[in-house]
Amino acid sequence: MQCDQVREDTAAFVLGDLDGAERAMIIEHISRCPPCQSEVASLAVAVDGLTRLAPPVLPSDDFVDRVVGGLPRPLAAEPQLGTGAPEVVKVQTQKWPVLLPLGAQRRERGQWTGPRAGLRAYIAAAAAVVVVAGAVVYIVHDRRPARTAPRAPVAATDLRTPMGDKVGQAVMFVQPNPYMSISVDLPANLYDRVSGPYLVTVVGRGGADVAQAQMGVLDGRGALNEPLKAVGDVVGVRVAAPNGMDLCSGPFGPGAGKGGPPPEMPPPGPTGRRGMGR
Amino acid sequence: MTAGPSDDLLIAAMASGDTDAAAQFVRRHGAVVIGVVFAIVGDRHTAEDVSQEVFWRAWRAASSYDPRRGTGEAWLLAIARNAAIDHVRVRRPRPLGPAEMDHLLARGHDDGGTPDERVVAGVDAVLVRRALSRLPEAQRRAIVMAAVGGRTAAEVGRAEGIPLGTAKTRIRTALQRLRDALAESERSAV
Repeated sequence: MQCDQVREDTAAFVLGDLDGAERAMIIEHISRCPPCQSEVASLAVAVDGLTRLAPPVLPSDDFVDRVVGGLPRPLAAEPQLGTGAPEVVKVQTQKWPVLLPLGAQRRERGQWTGPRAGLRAYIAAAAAVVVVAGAVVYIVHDRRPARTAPRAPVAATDLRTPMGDKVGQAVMFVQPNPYMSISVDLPANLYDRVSGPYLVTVVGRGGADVAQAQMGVLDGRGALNEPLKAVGDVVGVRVAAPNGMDLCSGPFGPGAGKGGPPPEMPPPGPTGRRGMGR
Repeated sequence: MTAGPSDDLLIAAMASGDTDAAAQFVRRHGAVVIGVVFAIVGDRHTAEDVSQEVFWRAWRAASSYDPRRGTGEAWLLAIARNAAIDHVRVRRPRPLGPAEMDHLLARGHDDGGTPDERVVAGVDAVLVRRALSRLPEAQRRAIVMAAVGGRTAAEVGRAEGIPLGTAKTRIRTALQRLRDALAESERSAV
C-alpha cells in the first residue's frame, strides 16, 4: 500500500470508519512509515478535540457505585493473606553524594545560556561536584486481607536531572502487588531527546539497585507501568539514557514531587553508572 | 485545574487494582464520558449503560495506557467513542440528525460536570469551535456527524443526500482543515 493510497483513508481510519481488513492495511503501513504515522496522529488529535465538544451529561446518583461494583477483578487485586495488622516500615536513607556536572550551564531567569545546554552538556561534562543529601520514607505494607487495595499511591516523586530540571514522575504502589509507574517528557529545547530504550532502575536501601525494565522513549516521551521487582526497601528510582548515562532520578521521601532542590539519590558511581546490569 | 491526583496517577493506580482510584476517575470523568456516548447513541439510558462499559474497559486497559499517546482524558474519551460506535454499529436506537446535533453542541458545557471539568474540557473546545466555525457549512455538518455523532461516511451521505464519495471527501477535507487550524492555533500560542 502506497502513501497516497493511505492518505485517502487516514481520516476514515481515525474516525473508526474502516473495516478490519482496511484497518489492518493502514496499521501495517504506518508501522513502517513515520510520515503517515505522523499524519494519523495529527488527525487523531483533531478527532479528540471534536469529541470533547459533546456536552457533559450528569450521571445518575448511583453511577459511580454501579461502575465500581462491576469492575472486573484483575489478578493483581486478589485478596492476599496477611498477618491481620498493618505493617509500617521506616526507611532511612544514608547520606548520599550526588554527581553533578560542572560543564552544565544553569538556567537563569528561565533561559539557558547555551544552545541545547541540557543533556548534551551533562553528558559532555568531564568533571563533577558532590552534593550530600539524605531522606526518610515511610512505606506502609497493609498486611490485612483487602478487597480494595491499595488505597492510594504509596510514594510519588518527581524525576529530575542532576541539574534539577523536572523531566518526569514516578509513582510506587505497594498493594496489592508492588507496582511502578514512570513517565518522562524531555523538553525539545533542552535535551537531545535520544529515542530508544531507557533503563529504569529502582534503588534499594544500602545501595541495592535492581534494574526493573526498559522504557521506550520516542520524541522525548516515554512511560512505563510495570510490576516492581523485589528490591527490599525502596529509596528512589533512576533512569539511564541508552548511552548508559544517568538521565534523571528521584527519591521516595518527604517532600518528593513538590519541586525544590535536585533529588536526593545514591551516587551513580565513579563511572556514572551503577546497577545497570552492565 | 483539576484537584487531586493526576489522571496518569489514577490510571496507574487502577492498573495496580485500586478501586478507590477507579471511583475517583469515574467521578472526575463520568459526565464527560456519558456526554460523548450520548452524542453517538442518542439515548440517555443507553448512554449510561455504555459508559459503564467504558470505565470497565478503561480498568482492564489501564496497564497498557501510554501517556506518550495523549492525555488520560483523551485516552478515556477514545475508549468512550469506540464503545459507543461499537454499540450503534450493532443497533442504533435513534441516531441524532444534523439539526439535533447542532442543538446538542449549541448547549455547550453548561449542563453537567463540575466547574473544574468544564474549564478543563473547555480549553480545547474553544479552539475547536473556532476552527469549526470557519469551515464551509457542508463540511462542518459532515465532520460533526462523523466525529461527534459517530456516523459512518455512508450514513453522512444518506443524511445529506450526497454520494458516498462526496461524503468521504467532505469528512476528510474538514478533518484536515481542522487539524491544520488547531496546529496553527497551537503555534500561535507558543
